[in-house]
Amino acid sequence: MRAFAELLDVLDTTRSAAAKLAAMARFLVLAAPADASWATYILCRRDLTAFVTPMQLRSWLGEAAALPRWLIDETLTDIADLSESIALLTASTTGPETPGAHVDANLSTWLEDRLPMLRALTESGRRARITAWWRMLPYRECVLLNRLLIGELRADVSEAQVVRAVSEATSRSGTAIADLLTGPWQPSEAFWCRLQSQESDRAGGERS
Amino acid sequence: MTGRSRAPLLVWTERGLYCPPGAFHIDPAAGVPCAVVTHAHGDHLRPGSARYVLASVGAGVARLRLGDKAGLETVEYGAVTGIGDTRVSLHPAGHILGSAQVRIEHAGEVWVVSGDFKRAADPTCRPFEPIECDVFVSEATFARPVYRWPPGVETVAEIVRWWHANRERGITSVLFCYALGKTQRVLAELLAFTSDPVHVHEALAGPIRAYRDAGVPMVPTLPAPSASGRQLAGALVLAPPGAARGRWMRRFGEASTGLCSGWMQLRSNRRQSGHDRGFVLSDHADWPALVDTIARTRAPRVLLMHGHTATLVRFLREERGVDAAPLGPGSESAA
Ligand SMILES: [Zn+2]
Ligand SMILES: [Zn+2]
Repeated sequence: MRAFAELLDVLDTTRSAAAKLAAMARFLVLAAPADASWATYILCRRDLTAFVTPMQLRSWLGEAAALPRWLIDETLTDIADLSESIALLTASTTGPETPGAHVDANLSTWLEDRLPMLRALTESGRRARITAWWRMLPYRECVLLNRLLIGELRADVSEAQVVRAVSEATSRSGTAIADLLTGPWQPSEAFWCRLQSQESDRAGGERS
Repeated sequence: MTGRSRAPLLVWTERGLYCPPGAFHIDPAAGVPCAVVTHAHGDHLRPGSARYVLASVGAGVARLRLGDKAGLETVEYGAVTGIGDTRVSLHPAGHILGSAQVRIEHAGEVWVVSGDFKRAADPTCRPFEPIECDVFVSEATFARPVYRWPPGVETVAEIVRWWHANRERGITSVLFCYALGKTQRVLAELLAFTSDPVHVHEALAGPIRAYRDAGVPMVPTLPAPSASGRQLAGALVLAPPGAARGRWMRRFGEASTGLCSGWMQLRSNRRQSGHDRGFVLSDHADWPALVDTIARTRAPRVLLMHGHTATLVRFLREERGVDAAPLGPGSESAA
């Protein structure tokens, strides 16, 4: 999840379309197939599942940050972004290189295993699990986790830019990629492999 | 520990902090007869005073601002000097090379002025040493709980990843950092990752030389050539923030820009920075460091200068039972 969190930060900060494209393509080339497909799904702003409500996260923050309520409220007002406020106040500052200070896993592991498993927990179990993640993840990963938890993540890129990046990363034509990304699809390793393979191009008659 | 009925050891004046029994100012805003200086940043060290007292290791960087003629009186960290009726000593503040806290003792009472300080590891300067005192005058530049720094080495690792990714694309990486302190910290931290030379804007040359003269190890540096961008493709170039908007930038072909600052902790600041990347690297204390340092001084009274003082004043008063107040323009005197 670390590389994707860094990618989102780059997309968020830079104004340069070339830099956004280069960062996305680089991520997609280096990522595991399942991660690449989830990243594409998220960057295309497909609907995400909500696992908790913003109200729940907000109500857990005071105790997790060990700060008085007035200071939490002051921060939430200043920052005006719940996911970021939580990360600013609770995320680990020991750094991802510190052994044992880190629970990160692949993006797909978070989305396919860890987050869905929250449903099997009681409210207090969910709270304990999530606040533990807050303390262990560094800032950027913690921001991303919160956005995934509440199912609200809008990266600062257009779908056309995402198509270009996928096309660059897979060395396939933009039209072929755009075709595959239109309509309903579920992120998975298999989907990314289909994006990469030339089979569908032949089937679609683009090549002979 | 003494009561608060006596006259304060430091008062706020138009020229900055003044110590009546010692007849000296600390970091005065204009020329005074005697200036005790915490460090060589422009908002703390200004020309025009008759006498400057500062930490000896900081003399080189102070000369950059004051020239060769100014009367510098350098003292070792921890050595006690009599100034007026007070006993004054300087202690490491961990902010930049030669930065100091000022400890003032008079009639059995001890005040400490932090100057700018940080607690994070920095290979370019002596680490901060907490000092017990009756009144602690602390900076509060980043006194909000959202400011919690990652380790400097993590941030520099991120800078290296950004640089190397840009190098793969054949473009220049231009990193903006304050000329004095931040630049040298980056160059020193880079040693853990590379021995490749880094190109530097001409305004950085003097401070880098002063650090090298003081024996601070850093990666090799080359002047950023005035030639066209081609030969800088793939290079890392350091420059002061002021160069970002000027003609100077035009010498690069395609470049990615980054800014190194504590303010980059906040997403809104990164987005408004106008740069491709914001790297969190600060030479000031973050919120946990401020709260921890204040506790370590065991000072029953704390005065806060610079920055977001209101939040920390309320936190110290309500949550820590410390007699805290703001100090500086607009606040009442230290009494
Ligand atoms: Zn300073
Ligand atoms: Zn300052």
